[in-house]
Amino acid sequence: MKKIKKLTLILTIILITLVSFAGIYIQKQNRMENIVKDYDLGMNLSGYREVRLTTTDGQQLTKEKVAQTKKILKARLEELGAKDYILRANEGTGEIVLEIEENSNTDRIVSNIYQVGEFKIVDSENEDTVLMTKDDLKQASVKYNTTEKGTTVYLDLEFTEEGANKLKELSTNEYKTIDEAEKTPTENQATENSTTEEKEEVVQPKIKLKIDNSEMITTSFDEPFTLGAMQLSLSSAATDTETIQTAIDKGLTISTILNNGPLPMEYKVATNQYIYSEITEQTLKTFGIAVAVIILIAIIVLALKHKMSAILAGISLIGFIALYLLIIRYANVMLTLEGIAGILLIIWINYLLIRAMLKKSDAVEVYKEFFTEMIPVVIAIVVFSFISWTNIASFGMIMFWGLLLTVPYHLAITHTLIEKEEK
Amino acid sequence: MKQLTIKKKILYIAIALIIIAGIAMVALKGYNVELKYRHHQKIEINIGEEVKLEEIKKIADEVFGKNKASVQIIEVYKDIVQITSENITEEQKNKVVQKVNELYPQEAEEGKEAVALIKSENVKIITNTNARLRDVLEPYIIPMIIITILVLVYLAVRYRKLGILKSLIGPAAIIVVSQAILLSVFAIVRFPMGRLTMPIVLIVYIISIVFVTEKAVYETAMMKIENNNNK
Repeated sequence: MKKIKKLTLILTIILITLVSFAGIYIQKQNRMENIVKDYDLGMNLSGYREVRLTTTDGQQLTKEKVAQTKKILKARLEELGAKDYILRANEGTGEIVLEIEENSNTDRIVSNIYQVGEFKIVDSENEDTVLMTKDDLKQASVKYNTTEKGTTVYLDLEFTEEGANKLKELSTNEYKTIDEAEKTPTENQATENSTTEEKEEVVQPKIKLKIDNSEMITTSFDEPFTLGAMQLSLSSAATDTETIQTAIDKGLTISTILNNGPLPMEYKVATNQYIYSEITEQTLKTFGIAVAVIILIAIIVLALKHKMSAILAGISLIGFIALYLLIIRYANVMLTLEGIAGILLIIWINYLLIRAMLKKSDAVEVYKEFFTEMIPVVIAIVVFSFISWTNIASFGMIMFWGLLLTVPYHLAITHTLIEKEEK
Repeated sequence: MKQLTIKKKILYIAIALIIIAGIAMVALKGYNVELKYRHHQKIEINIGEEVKLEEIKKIADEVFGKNKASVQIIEVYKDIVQITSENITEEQKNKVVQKVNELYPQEAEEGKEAVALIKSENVKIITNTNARLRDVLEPYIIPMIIITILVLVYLAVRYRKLGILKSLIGPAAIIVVSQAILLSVFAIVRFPMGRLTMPIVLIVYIISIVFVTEKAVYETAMMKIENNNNK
């Protein structure tokens, strides 16, 4: 009975190992397809988007402007949610090269990041008359309001004290909405040459709010504007998530560009292409084989002392690794170079645990010591998992799943195998 | 006991020497930075059909020297290849183009000479400036500092009976010195600092955390045994 149970466990381990490392193939449209989920690879392992920005012609290039451009772009990248990127700035040519991870956010970031972001309020008839600039703007943010009709997304522009005063003055004086009566006077007007009735229409002065060349709103003011903040509607009332999310994304992009200040120079996209990592699948397979050889040597070292128990523990360790790699795939954890470091650490920790299990017969004492020694590691994992930077989060999450799996797996499998062997 | 002290002395001297050598190397030559993060040049060759990556790598090794250039495929159709090296001369570029044309021979049309797939004048040498290593390492610094503080506080509280030297100062020294040794070794052996740096730093960091915890557990157990023996 004991032997049958042991055999069943070993066969289960072999099955999990085959599924994890070889996969499950089924026929789909005249070809064999592996239905086991593949790894979600990070920038360093799969590839990245490379965007090359060059300055438009006729601009004065200085080192300070380039440095400031890089600083603003970095702030924009972080606010737009870029979690893994490399930003280079050539002080000599002003060229900016951005290498950024490819995901659903990439296109939005790439198409907006290089916008100058110049905010101004001008006279609608004569745009050379600049009434307000970015210096009058304190902060831009996205807000939304839900009513029966749906959700409307707004871009909320909060002005500085000086800006608010300017706006109040503009709304009270030149850009106040003229009454309908005042617009079209109906009294007969006798002129020098004619006695014909003439109707003169008064043109309503309006302000125009612009961000770069985009006209956000053109309006006059019915009442004095005293709020110090202006809300611009980015969408009509909508009920579907996609429309609302698109409007929110648009608002977040505009607010990010406004909040970090305008770029000192104008840029255009020279190239925008996806580049595959030079770390190929073959490189990873070679590395995997090297790790497997080291694990095998480590098991042999244990087997010299503990004989059959060590071999069974080794088989269990291989099963653990196979199951762990499957969980990483299905838990949607991104695999990066740091993540691979996490996997190696988990294998090392499990090896230490197995070694302790082989040395000591008291399982309770082994696990008690293990938990005690892992508390600082858990602290590290929790902190790393909450960092938004992809590589660090990958390390944290991969180690989290590894530690989570360790004790239940060894309690259920390794302990049973070794215990039965010793009996 | 005397032997242990001598062993410890040798260990401390060795650690000090490694760190001093590392500091000297950084002061004199700086770190060896990976090509990707250094100032480098690259050429992009539009082949128009699926790239034979291994063959292109051999060409790159031939022209630029072994492991002196990296080869990457561009775009979804995998028909453009990028070769990156520290410096690319016109001669090297032309040589690469010539060898790529030999790799992808074109059939001549009836009565006409075969036209080469790639024209050297269409391949431009693009220069990329360096990425600051500081920018690459920056995201890791604050999380590691926070974790170190939390771990030291935990050890100081949990193993306070060992005294402040063994529960706080000792572990702090071990964590910091282990990183100093690692960075010194990187400098001495001219390890290319780049994508592999932080994964290795994280491995050593976690191992040092496990080590200091195990040490504290062991010393607490020894202290208990000693107390029991004294009683």
